[in-house]
Amino acid sequence: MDSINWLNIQLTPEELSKLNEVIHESVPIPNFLEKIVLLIQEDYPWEGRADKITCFHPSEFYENGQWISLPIHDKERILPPVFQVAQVLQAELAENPIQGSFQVLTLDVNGLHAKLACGISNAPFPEITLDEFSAEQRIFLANWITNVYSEALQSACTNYISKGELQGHFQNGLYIPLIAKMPDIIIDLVTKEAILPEPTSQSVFKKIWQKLLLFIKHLFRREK
Amino acid sequence: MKDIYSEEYWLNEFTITTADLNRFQERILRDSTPLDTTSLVKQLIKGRLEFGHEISPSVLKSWTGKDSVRIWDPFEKWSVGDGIIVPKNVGGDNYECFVGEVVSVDQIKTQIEIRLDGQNKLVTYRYGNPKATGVHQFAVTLAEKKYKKAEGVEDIVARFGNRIVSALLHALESDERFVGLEGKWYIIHDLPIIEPSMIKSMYSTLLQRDLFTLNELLSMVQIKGLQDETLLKMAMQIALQKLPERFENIGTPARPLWKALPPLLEKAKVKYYAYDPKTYEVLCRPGEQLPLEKAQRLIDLNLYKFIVTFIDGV
Repeated sequence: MDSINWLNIQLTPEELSKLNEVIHESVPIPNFLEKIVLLIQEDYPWEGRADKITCFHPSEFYENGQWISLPIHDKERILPPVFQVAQVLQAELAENPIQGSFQVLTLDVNGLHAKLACGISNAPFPEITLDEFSAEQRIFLANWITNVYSEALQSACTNYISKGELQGHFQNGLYIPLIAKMPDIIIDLVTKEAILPEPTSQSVFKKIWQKLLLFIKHLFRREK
Repeated sequence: MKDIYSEEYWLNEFTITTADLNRFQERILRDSTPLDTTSLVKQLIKGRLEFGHEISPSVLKSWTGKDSVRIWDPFEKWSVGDGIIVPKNVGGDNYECFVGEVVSVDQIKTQIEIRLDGQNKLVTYRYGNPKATGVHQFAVTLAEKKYKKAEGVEDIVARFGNRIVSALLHALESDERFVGLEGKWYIIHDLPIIEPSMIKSMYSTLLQRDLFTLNELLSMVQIKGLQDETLLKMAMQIALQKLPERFENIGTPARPLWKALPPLLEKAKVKYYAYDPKTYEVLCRPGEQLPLEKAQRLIDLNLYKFIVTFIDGV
């Protein structure tokens, strides 16, 4: 099946506007990223997507620099398979007297190098489609992707934010949408310390106004 | 000293001496042709009958005295490589004894195939047949009857052949000058030289076969100016013996069946890429030395011997 290059997601205008619409409140960044992954999953089979990549198949040939996804199966087949993004660093032809000719791929998988054989005619390989995933399995997959590719996903979102296509910002472990009500206090997810949110222009104005009102009330009380 | 015609001499005193082997060497070189075991036995007996006792040192010091050649008995156990003396019909009701070697044992058909010395055609003998109770006795009687008829080389062969052939084979196999193949003997230093590099060049092809015979190997090479097939096969046998890391004879010295061996892990380097056909993981790349775990995986996948070669390159 096809997959998504989670190292370089390219959200569609529909996905961006949906994110801007549905997220009204600040959410922890992992939850926000998982929401994005689930949103992309809904777009399956990803016709016309710019970030779509093909899933490795041993009967296919690949080119240097090509992005592919590798299905990784749970050894005990309890958990659903996951898909790791890899880039072809080198594709070379090889052969031996028993297995004939084939292609050897040197892959970069999360900074590690792996070698796989492909270009083998009629090579059997289990095909997996996202349609076969249950709702729970999709959530598991989204969770796995979020954990493994959080840095790249967040970086892509930061890019969308800077361009104004995502209306919000990341702060203290949260994604805070522009229309969100600022919480009075935030618990830092890492240190578990309570911290005051940094003021936005809106909240500063609100606080100044509140303080002014309090001051006026105080003045009135003193005069009485 | 015992009488040369007495049974006691041939059973207890007869031995093969250094002079016997020297004479064999001279005769083989003079004739420039391989001689079969029967011819050598006859030469030996003829020499004893004509010239009496041989007083040069025996070459049978390590011989146990056990007969490696036995008279045919359908109720005995026979194995490939066993020396055998069998009665064979030579026309009408006439039988004679012949010396040969068991070349195959078929346990389903309960029969053995024997190559008689000096003959190319195999003869088949059934064993284990309950009706064949008198066959062994017939073979023994045949030899005795012949012995009573006349005196001479043939009779000694018939009566004591199993003992003489056993001693002779032991002496020839123990002597580095001789090479034996398919019941024939020749002098090693007079064989054509086949360079190990020529055999090495065929190593990869031979590795892909489970086993190979010298005839198969012969069909793979072209050597100019040498016509005698037996000599060529003997030369190849010697060349193969010089490469014990690469080739092993799992047959007998006389009826060899060769097998090409993959290099041991510590002497192996990878020649080809190979992959696991289930996971498509590439297991090795050319030029590298294999760790034990990878080598084991390649062995399990029956790929090891086809993928690696010797560190020395060939």
